[in-house]
Amino acid sequence: MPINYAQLEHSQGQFAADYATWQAQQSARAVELKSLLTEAAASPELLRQAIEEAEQQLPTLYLAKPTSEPILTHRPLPAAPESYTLIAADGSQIAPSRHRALQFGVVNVGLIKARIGSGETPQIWVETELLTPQQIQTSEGNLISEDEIALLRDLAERKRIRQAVSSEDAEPVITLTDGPLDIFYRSTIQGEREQQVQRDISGIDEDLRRRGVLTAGYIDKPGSAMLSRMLAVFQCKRQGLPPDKKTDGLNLSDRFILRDILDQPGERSAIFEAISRGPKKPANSGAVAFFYLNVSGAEDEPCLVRVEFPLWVSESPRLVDALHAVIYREAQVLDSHPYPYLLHRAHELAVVRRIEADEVEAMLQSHLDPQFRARQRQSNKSYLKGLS
Amino acid sequence: MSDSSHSIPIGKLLRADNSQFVAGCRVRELETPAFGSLVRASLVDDTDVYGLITNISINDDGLVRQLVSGVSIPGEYTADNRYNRNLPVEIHVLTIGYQSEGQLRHQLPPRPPLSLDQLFLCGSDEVARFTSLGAGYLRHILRLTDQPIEELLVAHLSQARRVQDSLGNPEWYEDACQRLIVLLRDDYMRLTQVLDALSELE
Amino acid sequence: MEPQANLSPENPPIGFVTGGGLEANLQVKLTVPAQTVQEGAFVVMDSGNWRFYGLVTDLQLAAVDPNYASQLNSQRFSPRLARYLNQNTLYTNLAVMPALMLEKGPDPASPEYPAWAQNRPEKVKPITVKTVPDHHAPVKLANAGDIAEIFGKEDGKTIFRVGETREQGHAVCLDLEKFVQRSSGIFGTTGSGKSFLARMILAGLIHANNASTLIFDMHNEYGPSSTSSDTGQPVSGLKQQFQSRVRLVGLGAGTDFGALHADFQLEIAHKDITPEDILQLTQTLNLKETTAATLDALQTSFGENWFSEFMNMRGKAVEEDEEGRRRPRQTAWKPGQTRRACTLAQPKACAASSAG
Repeated sequence: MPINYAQLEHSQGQFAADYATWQAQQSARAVELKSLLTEAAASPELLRQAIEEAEQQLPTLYLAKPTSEPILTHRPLPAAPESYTLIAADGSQIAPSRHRALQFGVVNVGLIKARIGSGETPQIWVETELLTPQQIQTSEGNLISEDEIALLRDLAERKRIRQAVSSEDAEPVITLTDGPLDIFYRSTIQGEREQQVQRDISGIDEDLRRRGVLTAGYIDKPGSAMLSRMLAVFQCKRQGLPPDKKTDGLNLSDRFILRDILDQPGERSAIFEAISRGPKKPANSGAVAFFYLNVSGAEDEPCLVRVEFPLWVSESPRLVDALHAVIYREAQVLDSHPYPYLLHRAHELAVVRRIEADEVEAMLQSHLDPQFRARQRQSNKSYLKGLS
Repeated sequence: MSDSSHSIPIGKLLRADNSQFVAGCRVRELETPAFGSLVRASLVDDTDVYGLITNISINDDGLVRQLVSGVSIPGEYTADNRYNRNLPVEIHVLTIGYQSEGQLRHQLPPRPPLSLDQLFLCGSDEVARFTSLGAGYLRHILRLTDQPIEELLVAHLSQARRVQDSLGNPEWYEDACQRLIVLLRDDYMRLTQVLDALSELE
Repeated sequence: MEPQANLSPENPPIGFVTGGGLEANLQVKLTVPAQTVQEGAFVVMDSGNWRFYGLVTDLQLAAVDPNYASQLNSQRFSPRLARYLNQNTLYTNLAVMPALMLEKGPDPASPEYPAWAQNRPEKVKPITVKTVPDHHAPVKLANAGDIAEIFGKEDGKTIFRVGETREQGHAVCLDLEKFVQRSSGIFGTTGSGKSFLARMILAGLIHANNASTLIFDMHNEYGPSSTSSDTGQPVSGLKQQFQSRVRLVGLGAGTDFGALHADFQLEIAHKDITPEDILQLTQTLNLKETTAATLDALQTSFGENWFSEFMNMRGKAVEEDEEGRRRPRQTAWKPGQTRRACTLAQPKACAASSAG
């Protein structure tokens, strides 16, 4: 039923005022952090020490760690390689729902591979996997959550990517997925299943690394505040406080801090290592590095995104430049709203519509043994929702 | 089902009503169908619906529009849009007759073709068979009001005439011209436009 | 499609009825080239049980749309298309004046025929047209039989041939027996052949010999031979043709016809002239109002010889006095006396008009 707009109207004024205050706070914080960044850049040794201590002392840590590049680095866009191979993958899923008549899960991965410089039409795949009844249950017999199935989806993406890489591909071979490379940051899965997934992913990562494939993650409108956290630790160190002491400032998304530094289209920030450690975090997940990139095509409208890649890539300036140039070029194909073209196409290939989910359910129902078919019933709540 | 050994499949039905239908095809298949060609949709119940291609339209969507306004697109991505993405080229067809139980008629079929029925391009022998029944089906073309019919008539009649001449029936074309004149003579503007176009065929 | 009744390949339809009526003419769309039909042609139209007879009174050029007629299609389109276009958009209309209709009944071979024939007289005659043919009734040029149906078949006796139809040369006849039962007139513009036709009819009448003929031949066209003013050819006169059966009468003594002598000359006795005869010529002789009184006076004075006396009174009878009043002349003319003109009439004009 329509919401009560009249009630909202009352609150509008207050909201506007509060919002303005909040924005002002953020702006102030941004200024603070920017100057802190400059100070940190001026004291790289102090910064290094602060981070080292934090790594040693804190079980839970989440921040950006500088690599060999000075933290205020802003590199202009290098030339893209003449030819390269770009593979983009995206996945979507149908999560099992107790409200449906039939409980089933589907993972759908869309993949597109372009050999830029060859003139060939890119190849496309759509791989649809029906999860087994075992896969969609936890060890206790409950249906797995959205998060867990997302994990399975991420794994499926990586598996397909590995399948898609061939020895004939022109180098550099870059793979692209949407979101951070570290897929466990949101995971809540525990136990054997999670460990298996870990192992599988590690295996894939290792394999790709051996073949020199550059896996990258693309984060559009990044909200992470790893630089903020890094500066907080630096601040604590400077003030002689333990690294986990909360500072009195807000965490601010890194992109606000770097906006003014990366004001030229195509500029990238310094490379940082992403330190992400927690009790649930598996120990042997690969090290991830990142840089921020201004994908805008116009000077006065910086649009910052974060590009993640395995740490080993940062050791090769050639590969970093290749990644830098290729990602920017990809995003500029859709220049009015920069986003990597192939990633968008992968998403288009992967997306599952509601009606398709219903069709899959109907299809599966028809193959069930009749004695089971009769028992399946949609929840009344779901049925009624479906009416309007 | 009529003999389709010489017929080239060119697409599948998207939507239809009693007097016209639209088929979609991939860009690759676009080499074969031409404006004004005689085509055939084969229905499940062995009925064939015949029509003339009145329009071939190439569609866009949001992504294509984004790309069009972009600065530079690698050739590979142009190819991706043409060949990978499911934007069908739409072939618009005007129904001009049908065949059922072996009998060919120049009337509208009792039922339109259904989604995903296959569309074929008719070869010369089918064109001959269809046109040899007479030129009365031309009245269906005159139904079109949203596009100039003279181009369609010229495109179709030059094909039909070629086929009928090769069968030794030059009078078919004469009859067709006369019929057109009789059908259109009350609409001076339309008739003179049609005759202007047809005069170029002479 | 037009009805196909009574068609024969030798006389195909020339068009079909599209409209019109009895007062204004019937409209017929021509389906043959316009030049094959002429104004004045006889046509027949079959519709239902009736056959209608009519005359073509006009031919009009028409078009489905005036634009087709007002441009040269052959200049704009290819020759073949222009030809088809003209054939299908330009046509000719006939205006047909319906005159007669004949109930010919259904096809004699059809089952309806006996029933229909039962109530009818043996020979049906054409009657004045009272109704109209249907739309699309086929129109044909009248054939010999049709002409004969209307005008009768020449029989050498009273059905007399006066000419032929222009298109096909069928004989057009006159039933002289009927002709003489009624008053008739021949009207036409100058040079249209009135005298010629009259001469022919008169010849026919004389030849048929079923009526006596009195011809007032005011310009000597019929009796004697003459030369046609149109063609310059000699035309033989009725006297020459029929010799003894024709009497040429000269009006007045001494009237003759060139080489041809009058059989007799017609003279009228003075005694036979009555004042009424004179009065009949009031306008011609430009007589005054007082003439009647004067005539009366004359008759009273002289009785049945009034006219002779009047003629003898030439120059002597009446004079005007000083007041302008007439009185019988008192004295004989004497030299030196002014002579008054006779105001009654000129003596010469009183004589019956003579020919030539």
